Amino acid sequence: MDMTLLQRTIKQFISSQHTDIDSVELLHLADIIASISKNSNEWNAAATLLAADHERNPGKRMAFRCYPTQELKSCINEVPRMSTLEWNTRALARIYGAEFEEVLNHQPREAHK
Amino acid sequence: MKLTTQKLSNITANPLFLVGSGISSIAAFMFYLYDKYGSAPGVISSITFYGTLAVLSLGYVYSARIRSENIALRGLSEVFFEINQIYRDKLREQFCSDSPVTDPENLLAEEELALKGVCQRIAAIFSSVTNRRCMVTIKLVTSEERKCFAHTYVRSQELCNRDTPDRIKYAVGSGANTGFDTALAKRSDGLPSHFYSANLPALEKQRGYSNQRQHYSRHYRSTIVVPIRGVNKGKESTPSEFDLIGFLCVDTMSLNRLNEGYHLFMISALASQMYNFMSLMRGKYTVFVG
Repeated sequence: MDMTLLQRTIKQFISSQHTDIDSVELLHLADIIASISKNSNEWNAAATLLAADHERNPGKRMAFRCYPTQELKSCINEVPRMSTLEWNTRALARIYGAEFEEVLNHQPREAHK
Repeated sequence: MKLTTQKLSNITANPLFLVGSGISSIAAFMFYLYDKYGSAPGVISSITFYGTLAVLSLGYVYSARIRSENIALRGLSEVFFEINQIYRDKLREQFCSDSPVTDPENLLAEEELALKGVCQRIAAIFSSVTNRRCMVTIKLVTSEERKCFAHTYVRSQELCNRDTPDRIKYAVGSGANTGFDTALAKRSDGLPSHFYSANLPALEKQRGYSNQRQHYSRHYRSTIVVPIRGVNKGKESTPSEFDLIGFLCVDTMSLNRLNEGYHLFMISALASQMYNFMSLMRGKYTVFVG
C-alpha cells in the first residue's frame, strides 16, 4: 500500500533523527491526525499543535505513531514519467518540429506509468 | 503614507534632488570664501578649496548613483511579485481542480507560456539595475549520441533576430562554448555555479572565451549564465549528481554593466525557482492535493 504524504514525512523525520523509533518517547498524535481532513486549515491546525509542543519542549526528541489518514489524491503523479532530457526534447519538438521528433525517437525512455 | 508626504518622499529620494542640493552647497561655500578672502586669496586656501571640491563632487556623483540603484531595486519588488504570481497561477490552473491536466503536450505549452512571461520580467529586472537593454534566454539541454547540446527554448523577446536565419545548436561539455561549460562547473569560492564576463571581446582576445555563435558581439558583449538544475540527493560526486534542465542567460551589449555580486545571486535565485516550477509542471515532484 502506498504511504501517505504524512507517513512519508514522518518516516523522513524519524530517519533524520538517526535513532530507532522504540528508543525515544512516543508522542501520540491520534487526536491531531484523526482531525486532519482535506481542509487545509486543519492541516494548519495540526502543524500549529506540533509547533506549540516543540516550543514547550524544545529538547525533546519525538517520534510519531502513524494512523491511517484520509486518502489524498496525488494529481501530479498522474503526469507521465519521463526523464528531463525527454521532457526537454518534447518541449523543443513542440516548437521546432521534425528535427527534435527524430531525436525523441532515439532517446531511451523511462517507464511510463 | 499621505499623498503630501509621499510626494515629498519621492522628491527627496530622486537623485536630482541630491545633485541640486550639492551644487547649492558648493556655490554657497564658494561665495563664503570669496566674501572672506576675495581681496587677496591665499595659495593654500585655494588648493584646499579645489581639493575639497573635487572630493565632494566625487562623493555626490557616487551617492547619486547609489540612490538611483536603490530606487531601481525598490521598484523590482513589484516585478518579483509578478513572477511569483505567474508561477502560482499557472500551477493552480493546471493542477488545482478535479480534473488536473496530465497531457504532456498541454503542460509543455503552458510551461512555455509561463516562462515567456517570466523571461520578460527578468529582462525588465536586469534592464532596470543596469540601465541598459538586457536579453534573457532559457536554453534546454538535450542529448544526442551521448553528446549534450543546448537549444534556445524561450527568450524575453519574441521573434528575435538572433534566431534567424539559422538556429544554433550549442555543444555542451566540448569546450566549444565556454559559457555553458564554465556554468556547469562546481565552485569552491561559495558563489553559485555560473559563467560571468563583463567584457566578452576582451576575454576572447585572451583566448579565454569561445562561442559557436559567430559574431556574437553583434548581439551581446557581456553575460551571466547559470544552470537550471537541482541536486540528486545521494548521488553527490557521481556523474548523475545534478538533474540539469538547461541554462538561464542574461546578456547585454554594454560592457561592465553586469556584476558578479547581487546580479549573479538574483539570476541564480531565479534559475532555482524556475527549476522547481518546471519540475512541478513535468510531474517530477509528487504533490498531494486534498
